[in-house]
Amino acid sequence: MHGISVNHKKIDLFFLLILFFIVMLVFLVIYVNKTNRDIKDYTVYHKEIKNLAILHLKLENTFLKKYRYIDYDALQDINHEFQTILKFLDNEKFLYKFDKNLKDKIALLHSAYEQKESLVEEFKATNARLTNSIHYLYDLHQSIEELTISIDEKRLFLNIFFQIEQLLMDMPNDLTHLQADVAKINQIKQNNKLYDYFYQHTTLFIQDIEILKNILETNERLDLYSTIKNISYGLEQYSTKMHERQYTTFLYFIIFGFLNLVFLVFNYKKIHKLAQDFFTFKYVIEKSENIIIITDKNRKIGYVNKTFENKLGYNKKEVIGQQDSLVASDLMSQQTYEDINETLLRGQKWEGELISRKKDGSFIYEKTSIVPITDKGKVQGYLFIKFDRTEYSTKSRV
Amino acid sequence: MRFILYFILSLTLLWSKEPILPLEMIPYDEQKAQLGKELFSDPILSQDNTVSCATCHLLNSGGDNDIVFSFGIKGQMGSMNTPTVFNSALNFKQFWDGRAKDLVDQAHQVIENPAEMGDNIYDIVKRLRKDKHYPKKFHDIYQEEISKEYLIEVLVEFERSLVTLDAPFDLYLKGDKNAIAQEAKRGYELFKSKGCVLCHNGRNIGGNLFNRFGIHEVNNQSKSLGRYEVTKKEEDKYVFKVPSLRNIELTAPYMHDGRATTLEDAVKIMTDYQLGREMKQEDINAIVEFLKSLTGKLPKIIR
Repeated sequence: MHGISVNHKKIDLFFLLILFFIVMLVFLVIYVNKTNRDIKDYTVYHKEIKNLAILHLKLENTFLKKYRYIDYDALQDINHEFQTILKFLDNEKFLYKFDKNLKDKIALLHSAYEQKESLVEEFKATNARLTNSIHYLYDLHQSIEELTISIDEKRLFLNIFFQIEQLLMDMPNDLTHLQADVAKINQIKQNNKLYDYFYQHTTLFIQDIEILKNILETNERLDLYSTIKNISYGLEQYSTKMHERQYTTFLYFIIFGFLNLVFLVFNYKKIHKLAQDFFTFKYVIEKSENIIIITDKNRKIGYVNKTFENKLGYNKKEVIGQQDSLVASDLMSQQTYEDINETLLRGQKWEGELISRKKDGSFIYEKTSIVPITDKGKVQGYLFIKFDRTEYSTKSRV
Repeated sequence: MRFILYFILSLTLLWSKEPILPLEMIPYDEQKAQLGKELFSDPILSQDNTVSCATCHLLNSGGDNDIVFSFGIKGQMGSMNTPTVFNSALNFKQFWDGRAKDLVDQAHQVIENPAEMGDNIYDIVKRLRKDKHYPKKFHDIYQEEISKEYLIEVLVEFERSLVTLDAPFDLYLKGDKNAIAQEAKRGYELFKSKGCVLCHNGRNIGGNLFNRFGIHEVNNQSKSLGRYEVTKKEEDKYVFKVPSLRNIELTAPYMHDGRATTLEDAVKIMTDYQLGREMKQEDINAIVEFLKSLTGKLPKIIR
């Protein structure tokens, strides 16, 4: 035997497992961060879509206000809010995030809104004309009542008013009857200006009612709401997918984390056994009759056993880190030390007798073997095993 | 019992709500508005350095000018009567035909209209960057070079500051019962009962609705086709934005083509064309009195 060979694995399993765990943790932190951002974006976007749905309802309410006074300013504010949200939604940052068709859907939303907006404007204008006509017809009615007119004419006016009231009450009404009655006014108006105005307003009133009816029918066909709902649906699908992805990712993390833990436990058990073996060996070495010294490759002392302390009178602490020549004595020839050095440098074991000096200055005769400890052919340190032969040596000399 | 009392009280409050609301200040950035004010009167924004915004929108004369049609660069005559810049931030759309959705859009279109300022906004930005003092002023606000967005923004910010507060009628609405004369009060009642308010209502007393010019007078002799030019829809022929009536006393001539020179003429045309009714001279006079009570104070920034 030339020396003790130790075999260190380059990367041990423990290190690998810890590394894997750290990588997983880093990944998790990044993932949680990203998910958090996604959720935030989604929440904001979805909230705005919800707001659009509400604003749409408010716009829609306008169409219920026929023949009524409409607060244009309030409507203007609603439109302004709607446009602001539309601008927010049409943001490159989001357009490719939630739904691959989102860009097209938002474009659809834009055009659907424009149609709705212009229809609302038509409704407002027509309604303003209608309400004005109603205003004036009531005014005229009073003035005409004051005129001395025949019973037939009075009945005709009353009839027209009754039909207009029915229209205002939204009763299903055939306009032809009203049109016929209004035509009669045209015949009897002669040069009476009031009759002329009455005829003008009722004719326009009937026209505008038709226009209003068309506007309301067109409104039924507009798909602003379905567009909003469609976008909302796409978003909700994204959200469901996002949650599923999160769930899967966390599940994987838990599985891998658990496996990692199992490996670490096995690893620990192995190391624990090694440690126990080590303690047994250490115990044996400590209690050995031989003096044992372990040095590093520069022959600086790294370990001495109890017997060393007893025989040489040094304390462990005093010698750790010292050169092995600490105990060398001038009783040995220079030649011996050089021989030792040469042998060891060749990586070979040296055996022989040495005389060392104790702490108190007295000498000790030792049968010594010095073994290089190598790892893959490279010297890592030296093991000194010495046996105290002082008694024999002095006896034989005597 | 108390519940019923509260109910009745809240109902009366609802009923007492007027269709016209007093003006409130719009919040604006003073520094930007001041810079906008300077640019507003600077012909640097027009192609041949002859026309500024203030050429047509005279700030000491009701925010518009006193001629039927304004002149753009190279002496070109416009085709529409200049609307006032005062309270224009409250309009739901800009221009008589509502082709601009807001003031940003409006500023762009006027600057680039060949018959108005006839310029390319990028050229203006280039010119402004070479100017002696504008680059520093913009930099003080934005810490950046002049850009077209910043240019438009300061102009718009100035326009937003042009709210004419405290018209006598607004004070009346706020509770000062003596702020307007008895005749004006009667005018307001007529304004509401004769149907004017159906189109002219809200904070800007108009500026929030489109309607056809000549509802009851098809032969309206308007050269401009109005909103039809924008939408090309048959029903939009002769449809215009209903203008604001605020400061109307100062903004003659009236109508989109400036056909009426006095308020009395304007009210007559409206009753004839829009309301389709006859009105007594004394009622017209009362409404004119009411309209005169709509003149607010000059905005603080140009006082």
